[in-house]
Amino acid sequence: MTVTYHDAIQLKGVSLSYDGGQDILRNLNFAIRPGEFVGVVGAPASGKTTFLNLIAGIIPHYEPAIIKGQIFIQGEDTQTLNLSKIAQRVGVVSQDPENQLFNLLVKDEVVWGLENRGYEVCEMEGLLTDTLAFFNISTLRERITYDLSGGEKQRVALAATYVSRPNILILDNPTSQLDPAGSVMVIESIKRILQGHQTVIMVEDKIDELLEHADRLLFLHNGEIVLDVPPKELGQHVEILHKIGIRLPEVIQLEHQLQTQGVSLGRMPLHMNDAVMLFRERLNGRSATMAAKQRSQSNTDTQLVISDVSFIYPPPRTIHALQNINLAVQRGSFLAIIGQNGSGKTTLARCVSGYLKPTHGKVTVNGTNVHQLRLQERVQLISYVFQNPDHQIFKDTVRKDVEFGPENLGWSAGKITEHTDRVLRMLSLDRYADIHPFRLSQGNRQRLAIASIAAMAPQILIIDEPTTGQDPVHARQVMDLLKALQAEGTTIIVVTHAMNLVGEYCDRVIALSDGQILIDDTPEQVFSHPEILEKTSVVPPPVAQLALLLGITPPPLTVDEAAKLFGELFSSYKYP
Amino acid sequence: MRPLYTFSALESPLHRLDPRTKLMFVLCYLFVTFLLPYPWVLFILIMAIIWVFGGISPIDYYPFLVLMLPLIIGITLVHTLFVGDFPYFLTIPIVGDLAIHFSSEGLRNGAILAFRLATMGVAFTMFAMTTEPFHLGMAFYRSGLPYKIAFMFAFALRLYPLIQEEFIVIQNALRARSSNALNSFNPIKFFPGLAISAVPLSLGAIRRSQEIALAMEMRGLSIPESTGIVRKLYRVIEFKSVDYIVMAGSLLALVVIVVLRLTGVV
Repeated sequence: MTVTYHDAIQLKGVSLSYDGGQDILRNLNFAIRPGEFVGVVGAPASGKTTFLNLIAGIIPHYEPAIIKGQIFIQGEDTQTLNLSKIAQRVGVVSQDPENQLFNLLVKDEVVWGLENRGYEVCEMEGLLTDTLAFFNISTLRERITYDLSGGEKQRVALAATYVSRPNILILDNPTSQLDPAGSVMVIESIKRILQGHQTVIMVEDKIDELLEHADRLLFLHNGEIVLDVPPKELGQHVEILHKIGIRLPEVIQLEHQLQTQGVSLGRMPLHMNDAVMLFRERLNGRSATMAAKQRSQSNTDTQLVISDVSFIYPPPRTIHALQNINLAVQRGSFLAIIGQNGSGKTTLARCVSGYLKPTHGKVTVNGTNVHQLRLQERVQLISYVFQNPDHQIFKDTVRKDVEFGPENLGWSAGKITEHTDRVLRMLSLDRYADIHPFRLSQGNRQRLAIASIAAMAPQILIIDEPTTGQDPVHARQVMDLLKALQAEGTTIIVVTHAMNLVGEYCDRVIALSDGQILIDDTPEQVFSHPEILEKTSVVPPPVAQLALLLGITPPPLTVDEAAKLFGELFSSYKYP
Repeated sequence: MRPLYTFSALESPLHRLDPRTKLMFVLCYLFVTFLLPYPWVLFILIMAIIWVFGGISPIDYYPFLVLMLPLIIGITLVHTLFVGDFPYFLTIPIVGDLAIHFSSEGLRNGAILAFRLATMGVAFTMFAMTTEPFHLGMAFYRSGLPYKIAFMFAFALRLYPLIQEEFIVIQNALRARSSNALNSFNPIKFFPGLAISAVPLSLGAIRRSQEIALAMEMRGLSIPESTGIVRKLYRVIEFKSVDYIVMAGSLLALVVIVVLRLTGVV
């Protein structure tokens, strides 16, 4: 392979290790042409972020590592360039918008890179106006960055990177920490970038987004590129993808499951519209109905009652976050609270768990007002796991961290050990018991946060965004653990944006909008009303969307349910 | 609740002043506070200035006033009971000759000192609430401070409310683990709680600052130094007539009060 100036990026025999240890990346050889959009996909710990940091020059110029081989950016070896020179060609947008904005006002944030590049004020003014318009954020120009929503922040980060027109744009999971509305905003912005001539390299856990737009997909496994294919050829490699732990988009999983049942759609659908077209052709005008799913709601004993709860944030914000919420939750339920950012989900969860006192109304558990309980009594009745696990680590080993809560409750040593061992085993953390919590992966730290609260054996467990920022495999592990806790009798309430997991795991869904309950029903019923959900920017899981677009209600919520439904439907049809 | 000492984005005469002007005004005001014998007047006056010229009512920063209340009461009480001398405006007999004396002089001196400190606090709050951190940083840069130092100074101010918010989250996370240490007034409970919360707080701050530093580098922070390109500022940062008027007025008021004080008029 020869180095040509025209390659945006080229890697020749690249391996990488830290401190001479095991190789994190192995023998990478590939080239990315100018203007290509390349998606990078891999299971957890496959080396995706290291890979991006390497081609962005962050490794070794900001983060030291031992590199073998050569990395070229537009024909120049990155080891001979410094980070400033690389920054003139490469723009990077990472997953956490909070840590990419450091100016106070949006306009200052966007022009900041231009100031460093010595642009004249009139040029900056023009580029600022054009870039804000390009990303459809002109109205945010004078806004304070930390007052923006997640989606707005990420679009500002994109604009601030794009404004200096880097030749290569690297996006590291840009939608992973956003709510559905925020993700839609950011995806729209990325689509606009793709209309230009920039080279775009994007790591994205939601492969659905890559399939529709990427020119190529690189699949990483244990630091090696195991597959480099255009999306339309992905169907030929499903077995490899399963082997390396990649969870494919639901419509592709569905097509694959139908194939194993002997039902062929002719080809693999690449996106939702494509899937609708293929299934519609196959259905040939027939309709179907789903049998109502049996939910495991055996207990009718009301445990949690929320009576006429309102909450107003005090001045200077004075926001009516909740308005007259009334709810009764049965013991042992698995409840999801959904809605877009600012709909009141977290405020409701915090009012229920006692961290905020309602402006009006009351919350009772087993008939006791939670706001009149002492802290120690309250946390054993109802407890809350915060979103960021790193804010909840207080001790220097996993075991001590889990023991911390029970110790504060004044339990005996025997009882503490018994509960700690049980939750560590249950959450598969027992083998990490003696290591420092900050040495755990993000997914394991999230499990530790849940374990630390679960060890106090609360009757009701509220978890705020248990799967945000986690890849699909870890997200599912966390939900499995919650299901196990539910099986032991704990009432689980999750605040979440992950609709596929809601459909699969929850018994009941409450959709909030503007501090009010919009709909409260089983997942099947809630997702049967996309017109209501639209007000909350929530979209049903992909297989449910597909079914609804084909006129099937209530829709299946999981791939297995959909495969069963469509399999029966297609196999019973006699073709002319 | 707005984090304490954070910028309030409004359009007002105070917000429009150059940060250096406001700094000069605040310093003159502090000197005057120590020169005049009626600091409660200056305490009320500074709140009126913030309201009228800054558009920020005391309700917007009431948590700060509430936090100062124990300090004001504590200092006044200590002076009234322990520092002041005869005459006493109240005496509560305990046993025999033992009594609690409330000194008039102590009450007066304690109240003066407490209000001086409170006035200083409100004056700095005014500066923080009406001065955009980056405006301040770039004003220092214009005055000759190296860009990276000026920017990092501004950035530290920008980071401060975020750290405050993180501290509140950690405080609640501790409560979720049945520890009320950070809400306790008992130092034996509070300080160990503070030590425990320092771990997530400092690790979070380190991680955040590392990621932001990287984002800054990738957006070209060091391009001028490594390539020789001259950095240009988008915002015009220069003194206006009103800045000169306010600075001159502040200095003049200070000089007049010093003279009046030296001549014994006040």
